[in-house]
Amino acid sequence: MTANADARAGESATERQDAGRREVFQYAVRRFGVYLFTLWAAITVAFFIFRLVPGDPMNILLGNLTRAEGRQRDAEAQEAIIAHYRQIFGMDEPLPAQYINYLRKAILGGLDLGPSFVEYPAQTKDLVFRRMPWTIGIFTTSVLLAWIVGTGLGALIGWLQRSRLSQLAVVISTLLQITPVYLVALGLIIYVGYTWRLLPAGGPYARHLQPEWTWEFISSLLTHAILPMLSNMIVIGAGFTLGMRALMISVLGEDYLTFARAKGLSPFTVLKDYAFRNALIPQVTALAIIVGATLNGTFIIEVLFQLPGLGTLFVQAMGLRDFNTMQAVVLFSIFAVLTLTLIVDLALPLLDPRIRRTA
Amino acid sequence: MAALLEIRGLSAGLQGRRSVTQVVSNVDLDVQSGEILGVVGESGCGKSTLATAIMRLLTPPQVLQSGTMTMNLKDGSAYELLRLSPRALRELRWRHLSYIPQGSMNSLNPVLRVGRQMTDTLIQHGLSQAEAHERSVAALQLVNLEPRLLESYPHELSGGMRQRVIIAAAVSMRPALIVADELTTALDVVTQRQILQELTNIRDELGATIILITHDMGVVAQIADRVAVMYAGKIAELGAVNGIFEAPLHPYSQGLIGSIPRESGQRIVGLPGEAPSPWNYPTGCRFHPRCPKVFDPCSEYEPGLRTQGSGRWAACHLYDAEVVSDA
Amino acid sequence: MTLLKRSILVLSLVALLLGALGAVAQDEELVFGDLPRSETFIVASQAPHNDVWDSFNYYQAPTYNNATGYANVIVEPAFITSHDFHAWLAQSWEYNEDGTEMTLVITEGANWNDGMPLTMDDWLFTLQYNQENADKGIGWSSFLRDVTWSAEGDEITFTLPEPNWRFHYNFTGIGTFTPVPKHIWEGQDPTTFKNPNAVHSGPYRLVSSNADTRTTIWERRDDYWDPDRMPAPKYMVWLKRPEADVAVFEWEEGNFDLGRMPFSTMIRIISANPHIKTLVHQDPCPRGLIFNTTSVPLDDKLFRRALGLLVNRQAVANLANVPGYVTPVLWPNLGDPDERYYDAAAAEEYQVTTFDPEAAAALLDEAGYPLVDGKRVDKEGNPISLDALYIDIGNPSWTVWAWLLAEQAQLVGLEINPRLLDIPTFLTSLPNGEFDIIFRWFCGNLPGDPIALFDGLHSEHALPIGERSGGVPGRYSNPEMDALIEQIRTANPASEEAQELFRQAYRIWAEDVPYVTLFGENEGVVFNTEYWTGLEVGQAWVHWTPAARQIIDFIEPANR
Repeated sequence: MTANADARAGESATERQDAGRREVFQYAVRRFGVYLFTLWAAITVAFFIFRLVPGDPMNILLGNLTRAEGRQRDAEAQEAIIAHYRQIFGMDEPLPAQYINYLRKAILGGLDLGPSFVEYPAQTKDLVFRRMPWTIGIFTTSVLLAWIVGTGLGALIGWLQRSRLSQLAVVISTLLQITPVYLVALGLIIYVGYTWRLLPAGGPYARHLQPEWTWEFISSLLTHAILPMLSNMIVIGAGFTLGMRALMISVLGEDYLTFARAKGLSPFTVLKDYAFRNALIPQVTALAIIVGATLNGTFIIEVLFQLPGLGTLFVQAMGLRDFNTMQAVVLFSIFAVLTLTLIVDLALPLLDPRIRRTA
Repeated sequence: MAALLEIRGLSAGLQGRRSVTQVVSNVDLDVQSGEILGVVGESGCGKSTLATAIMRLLTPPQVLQSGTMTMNLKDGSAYELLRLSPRALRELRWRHLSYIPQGSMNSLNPVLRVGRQMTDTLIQHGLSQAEAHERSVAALQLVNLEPRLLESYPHELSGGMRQRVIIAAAVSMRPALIVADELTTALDVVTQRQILQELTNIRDELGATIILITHDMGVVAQIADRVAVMYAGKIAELGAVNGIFEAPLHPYSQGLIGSIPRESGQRIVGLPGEAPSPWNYPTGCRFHPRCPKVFDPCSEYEPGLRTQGSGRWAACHLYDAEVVSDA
Repeated sequence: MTLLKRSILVLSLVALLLGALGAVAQDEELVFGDLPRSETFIVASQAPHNDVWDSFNYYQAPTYNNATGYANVIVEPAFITSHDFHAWLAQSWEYNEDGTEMTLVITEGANWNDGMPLTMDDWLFTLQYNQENADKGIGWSSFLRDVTWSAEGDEITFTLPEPNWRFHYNFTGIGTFTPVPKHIWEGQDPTTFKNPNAVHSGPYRLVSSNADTRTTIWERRDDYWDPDRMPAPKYMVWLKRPEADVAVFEWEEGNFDLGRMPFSTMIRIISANPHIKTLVHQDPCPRGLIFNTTSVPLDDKLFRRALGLLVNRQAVANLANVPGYVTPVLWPNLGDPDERYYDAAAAEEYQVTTFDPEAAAALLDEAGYPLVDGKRVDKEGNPISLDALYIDIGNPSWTVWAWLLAEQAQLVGLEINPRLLDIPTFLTSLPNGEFDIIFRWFCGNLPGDPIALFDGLHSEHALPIGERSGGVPGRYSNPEMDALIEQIRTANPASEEAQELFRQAYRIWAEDVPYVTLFGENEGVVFNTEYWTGLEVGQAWVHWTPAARQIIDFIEPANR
C-alpha cells in the first residue's frame, strides 16, 4: 500500500515536470505579448501626453530665433516658416490623424519617427541610434555593476546582521540610498573632478581625441565613464544592498536554513546554496523594477557630465517641445527597459524552479 | 554502560536587551542507546527549545544558559556537545547527530534538487560523489521512496514525500541519535501512521536512538519506548510508555493522558486553564494553579524530579514522602 | 548560478563595447589637442537647445540657431549697422525718388572660404533661389515676393511693388539676406541640404565638428578676401557648455575665452580667476510689459495707464543687484529720446515713464475702479485679479519686475499674481495672447527709424486668443493707429513727413499704453584676458549673439 502510494506520487511528479515545461513556454509567449502591448501603450501615452504639455514647438523655434537674431522677422516670413515646419513635422493635421500617421510610419516605414528639431534636418531615429550607445553603456553597466556589488554586499551584511560593521554599513547605505543622484554626481564632479583632480568630470572623452580604436582613446573613454557610472552605482547600489540585506535576513529565518545548519554544512555552503540562492530570486525581480525607476537618474547624470546620451537629447528636445525626438527617446528608453525586464523575467525560471510551474 | 546522551542541568531561554527568561529550566535527562524517547507537552512547554538546544541550533534571542550535554558513542568516544568548536560540531552533526525539524514542509531548500540537498552534506562529511549518491538512494529506500525523486525539486513532492525525504536525509549517515521535532504534525492520519512505522523500522535496522518531540500523546503511545512529560520548561514525569499510560503519577500527566481521543471519540477529561508563560512562572510547583490535587506545599516549594522506582521519575509533592507527611 | 554570472559578465562587456562603438566616427586631420592655446580663441557657447553639428544650412532656422559658431565666423551680411555703418559684402544702397527702386552695389573681389570667387552670379543665383523656394518656408525669401531685379556691373537694381524705404533692412545687420555659393547650392533642396563643408564668405574654414564632445574647430584662411578685416585668432573653437554649474570650473581654470552665463556664476568666476573680465554691452532690445487689451479691465486704456504708473523702473534696476546692469528706459526706445520722433508734450501729459502710485490710485478711482473692502473692483463690481507672467533665465531683472508690480499694485488695492512659466510655455503663451500681463523684449529698432516700436501694434496682428500673432501680441486695435502705421510703412523714415507721423503714433501710444517699456539690459558676457584682449572694453551696440561676425575683429592677442 505504501509502495503504491509512492509510485503514484512519483508518476504525478513526472507529469508535473512535463506540464511545467509547457507552462514555461506559455509563460514566455504571454510575457512577450505583454511586452509588445506595453511598448504600444507607452508610445501612445507619450504621444498624447507630450502634446498636452503647454508650449508649441513652432513658437519656441521662432522665439529662440528672434532672440538669436535680435530682430523680429516680419509676420509674413514667420507664417511661412511655421507653415513649412508644421507640414514637415506632420503637425498640420488633426491629432488623431497625426497619431495614426505616426504609428504607420513607425511600423511600416522602417522605424521612421520623423525629423528632429534638435538637430534638424537629422532624422530622429538616427539621432537616437547615435545617442543610445552612450546611455545604454553608462546605464546598463552601472546598474549591473551596482546590482552585482549591491547584491554581494547586501548578502554579506545580511548574513552578518549582528556585527557592528554590518550595522554601520546599513546606516551608510540608507543615507546613500536617499541621496538624490544629482547630488552624488555634483559631489563627485566638484571633489573628485576639480578639487582633487583625480578623474575627468565632464564630456564623453578628452576633447583632443577622435573616436578610433587606439588605447589612448579607449582609456580616455573609460576614465571619463568612471564618475558618471560611479554616481549611478553609489545610489542604486545602496538600494540593492539594502534590498538584498532585507531578503537575506528573511531567508535566514526560513526552516530550510535551520535544517541546512543542522546538517553540518559549512557556513559558506549554507550562505551560498541556501541563503543567497533563495534571496537572489526576488533580488533579480528587483533588478527589473529598478531598471525602469533609475533610467531618469541616468538622464540627469548625462546632462551633468555632458555625455551625448538620450538624457541630454531629451532635455534638449523638451526645451524645444520637439515631439518627434521626445517620443523617440521615450520609445527607445521603454524599449530598453522592457527588454531588460523581459530578459530578467524570462531568466527567473532558470533561477527559481517553482516559477516554472506557478507562472 | 553510560547513556547515549546525558543532559545535566540544561537551561535555555530568551535573552532580550533588558530581560532574560528561562524556557527550559534545569533539565536532567538520560537518553539510552537504541530507545525511542518521546518528549511530550503542551505547546510552549519548552520541548522544542530542548530539541533545538540539543542540536545546538539556538539562535538569538534564544540562548543556552547553563548545563552540560555529553554524548557517549559506542566506540567509546565521548563528546561534550556544548563545548565543541563550530568545526567539530559540524563534523559531529549528521554523522552522529541528526535532526528532523519542526515544519519539515519548509525544511527543504526550494531552489535545489532533492538529490543535491541530500548529497551536499554527505560530500562535506568526506564521502565521494558516488558514495553520497549511493547512500542517498539507500536512505530513500528506507522510507519507501524511489531513487528518481533525487531529481525532483521540493515543490514537486507531496507533504508526506517531503517529510520522508527529510527523514531519509537525516538517516543517510546512520547517526547514533536523531532528534525529531513534531515529525507528523502537518500530515494526514494515514501518512502519519506510515511514517511512524518507517521511523520504527529505521530504529530497528540502523540501531539509531530517537528523541521524538511531540504534543501528540497518541504518537508517543504508538512508537516510543519511554516518555518524558514536560511542563513549563521542566520534566514533570519520566518513565516507560506503558507504565505512564497505564498509571500516570503526575497530575499533569494524568490530565494529558486523559485528553487522548479514545476510540469512542470522547475526551474524558481536559486540563483546565492555560500553561504559564515563561515570563511569568508561578512560584513553587509550576503546575499548581491548574492542579486538581493541589495542597499547601505546592505553592511554596518546587518539587524535584525523584525516582519512583522501576525507572519512573516524577516531580510532584504527592510522591514526596517527607512533604506529604509534613502536611 | 554560473549561467547568471556569465550572462552578467557578457552583458557588461557588451554594454561597454556598445558605448565605445557608438562613439566611433571618421578620422580628422586636426584635433583640439594640437591647437596652440595662444593662437586659439575658445568660446563657451550657451546656445539654445538646438544641437546641430553637421549642418551649415543658412536657410533652416534650427541650423541658424546653432552652437558651432558658424554664424559668427563664416556668415557675412551685406551691411552691418551697429553704432556705425559698415559695408561688408555690399558697398552701398540707394533708392529712387519715390522709393519704388533700390540699387545695391556689391563688394567686388570677395571670395568663398573654399577659394572660389564670390561674384554677381552668386548674388543673382541666391536671389532667384530664395524666391523660387519661398513656399518651402525658408528664411529671407518673403521680402522678395513681387520684387524683380536686374544686374549691371556691380549693381543690382530691385523694382519694388510699392514704395518701401526700408528694403535695405533685408540686407542689413545680423540674420538677413546674404548670398550663398552657387557652386554649392545649385540643385540642392534648401530644406534638407546640410552644406557639409560650411562654405561661406567668412575668414575661417571648418576643421571639424564633433557632436559627442560638442566641439567645433575653425581655422583661419589666408586667402580671406578682406585683409583689413583679418581676425587675430588662428583658430576659433566653439564648445557647447549648457550647464553653467559644471562649466564654472573650466572657467576658473581659464579654459575658455568668451562666454555667457548667469550673473551669480559670473561673480564667482571673476573672483576665482583674475584674468576674467566682464564684457558689458547693452542689449539693443529693451524689455517691457505687454497688456492684453482684450482682457477686462485691461481693455480700458485708463486702467492700463494706471498700471504704467505702478511700474517702478528704478527699483527694478536697483533690485537687479548690479549698478548699471539694468538701466531704466525713459522712452520707448533705448538711449536718449530722439526729438524728431517723439512728442515730449505727450510724454509729459501721459506720464509715460513716471512711477506714481498715488496718481495711479486717483486714476483708478476716476476711471470707475473703486476700492471695495480694500480691493479694487471692476465695472461689474467683481474684484480684479490679474496674472503677470515671467520666466527665470537666471537674471534677476527678469523676475523682480513682476513682484515689484504686484507689491505696488497691492498698495492701491489691486491684485496682481506673479506667475513663473517655463521657457517653452512662455514662448507659446506670448504670441498666442494667453496672458494678462507678460514680460517681453522689443527688438528691431534701428537708429533713425523707430518703426519697430509701432509696427506690431497694427490691428492686423490682433488675432483671436490662441492663434499665434506676429506683432506685439496684446491684441491692441485702434483704427487711428492702423492708419498711421500704414503711412509710416511706406514713408521714408528720414523725411519730415514720416517724423510727424511718428510723433502722432507716439502720442497715441502714450495715451493708449498698449505696452510699457521697463529697462534696457547690459548683458553680461565674460571674457578671459589671459590670451586675448580687445573685448573687455564695452562696445556699445555690439550685441553678442551667435550671429555677430563683426565682434571677432575686435579680438587682439594679449601681451604675454
